[in-house]
Amino acid sequence: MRPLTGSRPKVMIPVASRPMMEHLIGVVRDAGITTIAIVVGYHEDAVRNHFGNGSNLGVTITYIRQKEQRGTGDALLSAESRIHDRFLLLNGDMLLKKEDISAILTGNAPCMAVYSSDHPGDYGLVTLSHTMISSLAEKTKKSGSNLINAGMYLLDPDIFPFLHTVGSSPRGEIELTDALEHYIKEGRLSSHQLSYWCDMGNPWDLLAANEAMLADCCTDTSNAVIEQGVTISGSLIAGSGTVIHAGTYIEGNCIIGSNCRIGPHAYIRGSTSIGDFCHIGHATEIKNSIIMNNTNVPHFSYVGDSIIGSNCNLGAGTKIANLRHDKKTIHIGGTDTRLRKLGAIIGDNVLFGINCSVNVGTVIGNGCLFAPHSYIDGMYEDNMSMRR
Amino acid sequence: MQAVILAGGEGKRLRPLTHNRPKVLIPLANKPIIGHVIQSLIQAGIRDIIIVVGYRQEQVIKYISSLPLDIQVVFQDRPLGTAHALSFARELIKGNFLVLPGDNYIDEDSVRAIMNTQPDAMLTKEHSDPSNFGVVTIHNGMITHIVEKPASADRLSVSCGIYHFRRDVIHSITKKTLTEEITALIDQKREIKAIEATNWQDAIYPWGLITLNTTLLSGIQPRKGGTISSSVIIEGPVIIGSGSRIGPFTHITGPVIIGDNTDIGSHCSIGPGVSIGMRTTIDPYTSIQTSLIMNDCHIGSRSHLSSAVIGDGCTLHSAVIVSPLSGSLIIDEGPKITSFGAIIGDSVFCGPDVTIQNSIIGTSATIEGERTNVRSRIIPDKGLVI
Amino acid sequence: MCGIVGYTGFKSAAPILTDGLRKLEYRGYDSYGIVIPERTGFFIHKACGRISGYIPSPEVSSGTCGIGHTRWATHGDPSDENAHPHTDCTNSIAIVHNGIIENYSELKRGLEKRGHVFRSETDSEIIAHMLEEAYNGSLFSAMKQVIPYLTGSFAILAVHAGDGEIVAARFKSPLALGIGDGELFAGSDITPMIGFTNRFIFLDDGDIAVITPETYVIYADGIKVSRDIQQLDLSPDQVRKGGFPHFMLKEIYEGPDVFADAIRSLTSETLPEPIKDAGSFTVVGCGSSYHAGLIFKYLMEEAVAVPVRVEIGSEFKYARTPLSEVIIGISQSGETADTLAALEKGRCHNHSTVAITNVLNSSITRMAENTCFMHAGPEISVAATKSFIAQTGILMQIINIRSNERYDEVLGRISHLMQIVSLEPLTEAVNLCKDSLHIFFVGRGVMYPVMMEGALKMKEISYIHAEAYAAGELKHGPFALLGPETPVIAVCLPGRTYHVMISNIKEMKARKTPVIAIGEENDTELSDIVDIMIPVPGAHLWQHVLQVTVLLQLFAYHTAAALGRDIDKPRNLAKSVTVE
Repeated sequence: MRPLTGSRPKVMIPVASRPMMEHLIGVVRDAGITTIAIVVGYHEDAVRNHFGNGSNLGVTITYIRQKEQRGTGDALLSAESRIHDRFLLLNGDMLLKKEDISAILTGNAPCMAVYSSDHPGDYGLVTLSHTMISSLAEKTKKSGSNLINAGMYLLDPDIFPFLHTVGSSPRGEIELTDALEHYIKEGRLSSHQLSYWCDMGNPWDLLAANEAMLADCCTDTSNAVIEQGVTISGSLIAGSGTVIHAGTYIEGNCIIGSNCRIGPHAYIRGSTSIGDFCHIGHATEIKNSIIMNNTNVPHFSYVGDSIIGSNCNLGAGTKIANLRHDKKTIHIGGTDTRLRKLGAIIGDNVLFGINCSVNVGTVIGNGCLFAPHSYIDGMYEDNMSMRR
Repeated sequence: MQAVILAGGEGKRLRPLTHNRPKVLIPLANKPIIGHVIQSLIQAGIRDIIIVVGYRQEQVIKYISSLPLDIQVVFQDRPLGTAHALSFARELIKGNFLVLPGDNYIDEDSVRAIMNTQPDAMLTKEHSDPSNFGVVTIHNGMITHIVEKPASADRLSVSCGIYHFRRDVIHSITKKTLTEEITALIDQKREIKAIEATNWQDAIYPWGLITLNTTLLSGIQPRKGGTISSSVIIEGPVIIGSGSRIGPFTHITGPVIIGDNTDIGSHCSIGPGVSIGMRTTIDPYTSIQTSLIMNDCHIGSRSHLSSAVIGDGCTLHSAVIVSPLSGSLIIDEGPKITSFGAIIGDSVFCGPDVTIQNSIIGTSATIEGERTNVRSRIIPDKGLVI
Repeated sequence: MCGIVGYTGFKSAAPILTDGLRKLEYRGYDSYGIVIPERTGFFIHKACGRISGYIPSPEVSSGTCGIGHTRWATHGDPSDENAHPHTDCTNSIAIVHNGIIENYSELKRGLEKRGHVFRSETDSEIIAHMLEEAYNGSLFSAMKQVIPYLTGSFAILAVHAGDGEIVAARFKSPLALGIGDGELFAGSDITPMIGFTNRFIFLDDGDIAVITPETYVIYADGIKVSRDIQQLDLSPDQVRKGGFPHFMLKEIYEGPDVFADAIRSLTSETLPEPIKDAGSFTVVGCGSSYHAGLIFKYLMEEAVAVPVRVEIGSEFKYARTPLSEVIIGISQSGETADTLAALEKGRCHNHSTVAITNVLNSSITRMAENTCFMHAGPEISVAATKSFIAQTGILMQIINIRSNERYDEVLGRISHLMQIVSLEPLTEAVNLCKDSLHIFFVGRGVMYPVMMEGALKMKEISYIHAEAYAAGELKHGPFALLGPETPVIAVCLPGRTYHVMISNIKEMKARKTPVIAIGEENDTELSDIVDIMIPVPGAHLWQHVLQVTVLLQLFAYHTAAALGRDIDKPRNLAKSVTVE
């Protein structure tokens, strides 16, 4: 997830202008669970400051700090003293539907959520006999089954004795799945197949998640100022203090945060979310992208299928390409994204001079600087600078 | 699964480059050879790694302790052989285990292949010049015979020195080398499976490092750090470390790796097949191809380097030419036809306008005088050429 | 010096406190103790010796609040009774204290007169009894009343029986708070808290803090104040040994990289303003830092003819400061009491002050107007090695910048040359010296302070009496001590001092003294007259300074290792000396 996790934990990366975990807490609440414990580690104050005690979301949240990042089992163990009853365990970095959670809650514990994936090789595989889990496997290149472990479980506190006996795995971590092996041996671990599951293992997965979350949004521009001569189709949410100037053309579904300046004559389309205090200026086109807080794309730019962190500035005329001439899928750092259209993944505090050209599949670290007219391609480490 | 990496050897035949460091620490694509071995193990899912150190052990430990891994280190007191080295890990072995040399390159797939084979097993590889290795005879997938460094041999399978043993082997070591140990196991009618490695490479002689470096460079994931002039032209996979500076109009053709805090002047031409270490300075108008340059070097302006290995802390003045040439060198008391540019040890000083071809320059040697030509020569450590 | 640690939260406090004290071990100590408030009274464990063996059993106390201490004896012998924590007469208040209460004897007399019974010889125990007298339901108000009576330096943690609250007070001794979730920490530095939290508050002089599991309130002069939370991303990895047998060896081998980082950290743009055009300098430091200052003096005066005065931290207060000066204070930990006092004195006399330190947010950074950081990374071994290298690097870079970067090339090659000499085998020299009672280190010019540093390392970790002399001084007295029993380490490198060093060595040999010489390789004139020759490659004088330093560090290390000494924690010594 680098560079986007440079200054925020992964679960706080915005999807449809809200941290991805907020969506997850929302569906968990809608499924009827209101007492939530969050196991935090890296940059935990960002999580605490955002969610507080949970009253804004209508839930009660307590925080548990994981001392060392020693695997899923260790994370659960750190919560042991606070768990006295049947509980739902979820990874914080995925999106789910309420119906699936409600369904798993009505079943029996222990139960693991599984999902049928079209690229199962990237995840932990699961084999079933009837509906019971019969085996788990590590990530592997060979694929037999296409069912994967979705990272959601309904468990009873009797998991803890097993967890205590689990030694650390070859990578020095305490794996929850090792404890689940006990249930599997006894033939007790049931499964629940999810209808929808969106995991965010790679930064570009955010674009699909963003699109999915925006599809459910209803138009709300009551707090924004929209000038005469703005065309809007599809749904649009715009926050308070935001001004959309004349000539702007918005093809939703889009979400624009508060205190933004949009236009005049901006063109925003295709599942774009824009954070707070952003400026999308004259003759700028933004397509299917995520733009975080305090970032400006003020003049004559094109941004397509890209993610731009906070506090960035695109100099006038800077453009981000999103399609290869040969129309092949785009690779980032040796990984095939399986996407034909993908622009750039840009960290926080990146400044572009005027008329920079950013090629498809570029990844730019936090704090990079680019001179005017730079040609930008490939992977850039944090704080790299390109001078004249 | 546990893996024992043998990192105690000196690598005498790679002198002068092993004068100040063991062979396992020679950087290929800016990572010590042992780092590539560890990486393949980690990728294959092995985390319980034990390293046996001996020659220049502090340096090996310093490298290991810089990795974000918990690696156990054991000390071999005298260099008596590979099996002797392995026996020092005896107390730490908990089950079946792998043994690997730390100074050969091995890829992830080969590690997976041998770890997923029931012990005992060893990795083998067909080799065009097997005379420097343990040559194995294979019958029905089992090793029937192994001979170390035969005087002459045709294209045959050789041992990669990588084994998957049952635990009891560690307690029954009586011989000095693993080759002898394997022979003893075969004599005891133990079956040892032969598994063909997919990618295994060893540099026997220093010029072999040039090819090995180029091979390992081809797998790099490009990324850029530091300060780069926007008029720099970068083609192909190129890594530029943080804090490095690349001057205007320099042309870099990948695969090239440039370490941290290295300065490359303007109008240089770098690559393909070049790795440059940390804190090195390359002055303007210099061109470098297919070469391995280590840390803290200074390469003067208008130099041309091709097919060179340059150790730490060397100073090459301006307009130094290193280029490949075929010739004969006396290596291991016998003449060998070789064709490379130069192997230059650490702390070598080379004056302006010197030409070096097909030569090995010892550590701390000095080459002075304008238009000096060094052709197919071996200059000893601290040698002086005027 | 003494270390303190406090915890209040939801976990069992005893293991966290003992773990914290173990991480403070590097500061040096002779006894330790922890206290955990129970419903009435306390659970207290204190003992002389090492904490390594102590594992608190969970049944003993499951309390989730407590304080702990490692003591380095100043007032009273190391003993179980003198170990902290100390309690009052009613056994309801317990304290740990770091620092020195200078007026403790008069306060103690008063307390005894009023009937208090003392169980230890320490200065610290008075604080517990004074808190007892002032206590009226609130530990904080008691502390507020007691503090004005105390003179000296202190970092205090206090707890009351039956409470989950810790009251912390700081004056001239370091104290930091660690902010966790539902748990808070206190410590004399952040090492015991690494791994639990990465957010810290560094208290200022005069601060009193009240900490509970959920909140902390800081008062300065009785007024609630807010202090910035600093996020420091230190991982436990940075303080592990890797495969090295000792931290000291690891740190010596980190030297070359540390040197390269140090010189890169300072450029003509980042050089503190007062240094750029100062007409003279005063450098203040203790121990190794003092030696780094002396090297600076020799090199600076030669390179740019700017006079440099070097003072030992503890002696500076007795010296008259010149009229207009830049004062450079050097302290690895940034907490060295004498160096801090010297800088404070300098500031009082309106001098520009510059600190060179390795610890961000240390007291010295707040004392001095400007700070240069060494970037050496945490140094755990008590004997300074890589921090000395870093100090020398910073100081050399200062000279280089003052001389218009004339030495760029020379500095750039140093880290490589250090690596080369670290490969030199020293076994012969170690065998010659390890059974001696005395060793002399001699050199001339800038090599004299280099030898002083070498002798200091030898003393610190091998416990062999090692003394450094300027070679020319030998004949003015110490020569009487020479003989076959006392080996001499002499540095004799080409240059101005070479010929006179050769004749000095010949004079020593005439007294049958075994001589180990550090000389340039291939110097047969030298190797013919000495017993053991340790060769270094030919180089510039500045490069020789670092090469010889590394050799002497390794020489001391291997000698101590051969003698089986506790290298990382030598007896009687402390990492940062926070008392005068």
